[in-house]
Amino acid sequence: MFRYIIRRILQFIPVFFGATFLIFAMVFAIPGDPIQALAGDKPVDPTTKAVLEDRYNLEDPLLEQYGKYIGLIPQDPTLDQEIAGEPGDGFAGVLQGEFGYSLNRRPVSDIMADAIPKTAKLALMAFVFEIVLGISAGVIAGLRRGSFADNLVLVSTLAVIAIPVFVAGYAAQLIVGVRLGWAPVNAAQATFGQLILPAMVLGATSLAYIARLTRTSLNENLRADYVKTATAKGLPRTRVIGRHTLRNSLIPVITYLGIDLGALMGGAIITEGIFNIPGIGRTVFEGIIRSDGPVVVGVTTFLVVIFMISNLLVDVMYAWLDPRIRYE
Amino acid sequence: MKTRKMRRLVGALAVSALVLTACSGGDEPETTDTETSTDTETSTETSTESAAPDASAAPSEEGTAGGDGYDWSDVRRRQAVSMAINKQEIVDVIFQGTRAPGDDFWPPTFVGYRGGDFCPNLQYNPEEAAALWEEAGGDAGPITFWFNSGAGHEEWVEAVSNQLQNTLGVSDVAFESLPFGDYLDKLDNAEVDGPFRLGWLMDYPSPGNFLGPIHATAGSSNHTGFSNEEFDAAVQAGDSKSLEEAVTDYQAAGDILCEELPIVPMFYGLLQAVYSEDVSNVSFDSFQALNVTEVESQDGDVSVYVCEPQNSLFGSMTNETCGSEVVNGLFSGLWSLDKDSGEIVFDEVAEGFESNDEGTEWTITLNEGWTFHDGSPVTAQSFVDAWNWGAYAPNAAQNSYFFSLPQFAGYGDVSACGTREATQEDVDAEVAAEVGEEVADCENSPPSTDTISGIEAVDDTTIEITLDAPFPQLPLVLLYNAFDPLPPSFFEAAEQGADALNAWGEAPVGNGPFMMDGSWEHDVQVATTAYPDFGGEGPNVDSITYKIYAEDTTGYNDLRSGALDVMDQVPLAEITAAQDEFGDRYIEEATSSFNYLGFPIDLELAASWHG
Repeated sequence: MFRYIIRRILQFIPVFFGATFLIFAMVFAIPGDPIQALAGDKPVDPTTKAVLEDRYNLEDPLLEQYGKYIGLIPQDPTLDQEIAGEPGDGFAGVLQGEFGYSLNRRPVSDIMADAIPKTAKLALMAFVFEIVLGISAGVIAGLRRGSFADNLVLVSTLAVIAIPVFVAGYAAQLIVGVRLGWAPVNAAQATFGQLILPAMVLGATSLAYIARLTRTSLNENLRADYVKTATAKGLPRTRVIGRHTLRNSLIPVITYLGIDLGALMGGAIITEGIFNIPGIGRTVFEGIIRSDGPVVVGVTTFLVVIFMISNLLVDVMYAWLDPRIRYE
Repeated sequence: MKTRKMRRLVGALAVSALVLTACSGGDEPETTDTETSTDTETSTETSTESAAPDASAAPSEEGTAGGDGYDWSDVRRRQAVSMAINKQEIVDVIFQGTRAPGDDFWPPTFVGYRGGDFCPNLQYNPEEAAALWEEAGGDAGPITFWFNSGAGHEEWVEAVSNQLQNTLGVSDVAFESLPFGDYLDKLDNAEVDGPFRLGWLMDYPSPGNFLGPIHATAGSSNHTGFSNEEFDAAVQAGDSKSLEEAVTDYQAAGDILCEELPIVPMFYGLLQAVYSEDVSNVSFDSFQALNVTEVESQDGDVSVYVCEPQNSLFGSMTNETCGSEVVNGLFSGLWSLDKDSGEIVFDEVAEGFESNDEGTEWTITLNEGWTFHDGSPVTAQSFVDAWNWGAYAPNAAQNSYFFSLPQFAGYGDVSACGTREATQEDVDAEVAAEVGEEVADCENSPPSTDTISGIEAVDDTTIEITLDAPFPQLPLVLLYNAFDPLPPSFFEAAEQGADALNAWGEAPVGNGPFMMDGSWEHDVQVATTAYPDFGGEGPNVDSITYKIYAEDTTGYNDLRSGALDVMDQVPLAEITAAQDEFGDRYIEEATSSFNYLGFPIDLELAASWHG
């Protein structure tokens, strides 16, 4: 197991370089001139433009830009430094812990430090919400197949899946926030109280999937041979279900959760937009609109790392849940 | 097709791409442009070479992607299109009355605006339009419309195309919608070969600002290639006079535009604001920012809707509406403008100004006793240093362009880089058109000095300004927040480098009625409190909190739930409901911006100015 984990971590290295390079190349390929876009409807002073292009290495070829960004090629001196006769900053890239500056001259590390905790908090709250309610609903429905509770879970989850998140979000905001006044409309500070409603909106769809997955999987496993054996052995029902059936039934659910954690982190754009939460989804979206390479690459690199780690955790959990699975 | 894909992508990504882009520099940020002396020099040089008479260069011939088969240099085509557009219908149906139809070449907030029937060519007249269209050759295939994507222009451009199809019998239309940066690139390189959408927001409150840059020969935002000597002379005559005397010249220029129609003014922006029951006396200044010293509040605090400012919070850097709103409370400039009378009011740092008859020598006298929020005095030097910093090209200040509007003596020395001969490498990098031509080279020869010789602080309370050309409208230009003063702590930070400067801009030390309460919390809020030692007449409230929203719908809901006080960007979908719900607390007023549809009259000429 230990060797497996090490091997997986080593695999992170090519994935990291590959992913960052691909993202970098894609941002590089966005047509148009980001400096120009900064100035809106009107053209930019050519000297100012030249200074800014120099500052962001925009005139260099793709590979050289990437090298400077990632920290494998030293930075050229900027114009100010050149005028002052100073050398450049040397190797200053992601590998050195420098994420560079956004086009509006804010350190990307600051932007990430602002946005990541907020999204993480939101995602975690949504995650807990969907696990607790989703699995409980799934177990109840799965154990009493065909009962009223089962049908209720099936119908209500279908309804939740059918409603797009922006409809649910705005409706929740309007009813709970504006009409009833029970929750704040604006969750910009991302405090626990502010995030309850957005987390429920964000987690609702996944909750429905989890409930359905758990139900189906439990249903199937209840008819499996090893469950019959366990029951025949005379084990109490709680133990048969809790220890044998449920644990095995959770494997597809865990797979789903692993993907979902990453998706929650990166895919909360709409919820973040509705409730005005300045998280990473919004940061990336605005970065793309502005062709702000350093921001987009910085934040997506972080997301890549999150995806890699959550996938590793999922794979490790398989082995823990189902003793038949071995990685050595 | 690119257009479709782009639209779908944007639509899928977020409910309101429109709002995000509007805030992030998509639509019409309060911002601007260009023109260093090198630029002007090289461009006039090349334009004499390639300046072909309008008729000889049929722009459609060199058409690239999606080029249409129309000769837009034929004035009848332009007139026909203009008269075929029913702007009122578009305003009513698509914008639900939230804009005003364009009937003059500058918005109604400016002196000399005539509007109404002044220009029949701008009025809807389907019969005349159809007749002119036939006379000019009738249908010649599809017309390609160009606009920037994701900023809410799709609907009205499509409506215009439908009207043209119905009225003129145009057989087919095509659309090219591009992200903003790409779009401007194409405009600069004259690859836009059909009617194109652009907008303009005033730099200073004079019609001259809506004429010279957009229509004059080699104007910084002239993308139509329109060039008319009579027009240029009229604008120049207007610019060299005071605003009152200039009106006739500007109107004469407007008459020429009315005949020639290089553009069709589509609609003027309107400001729609609502406010809560907790606040009163809500009004907006001529730059559409809240009048912070006038607003009153029951609980002593006012929360104001803004979008995330895009730059450090001080005048030299802030060029969009979101940031300007905040900077407006933190800094005070020389003087302000009375919106109704259009008169300069000395309620800020300056006591008055004098100039010689021509308007080339100016003396500005400052009041004593004004201080920055850290206690240091506001002197003439605070202004002069701030202006020099803003104009000096290597600082790459977003508002450097504003220092090019009046021709300060010696401005060229701080703004322009040296030149060298272009190499094959430059050509490959699309820097210069041809090998051997001169290109700007900032790296090897930066501007020769970092101070503008024509601006001088004679003593603590006197600024002397020398201009190269008469410009009696200078006081109007100086209204803008690019001309705010900066304290010594700013220059200390600037000395230390980018990180220190950035940190300073997160918690700026201004001289305005409000000072920072802590730092700027990005995407959350900027909290400010009243500055007790403010030099002017102090505000009526203890604090103003600028709450930052990414989407106007959220802000609007927040205001309705009671958590927000003032919002000046009511969502389009809510306009009718807002009027009913807020009644007296709903404000609608004209702004100083417009959207227009330009015609590619002479692409080669336009390219020679901007390329």
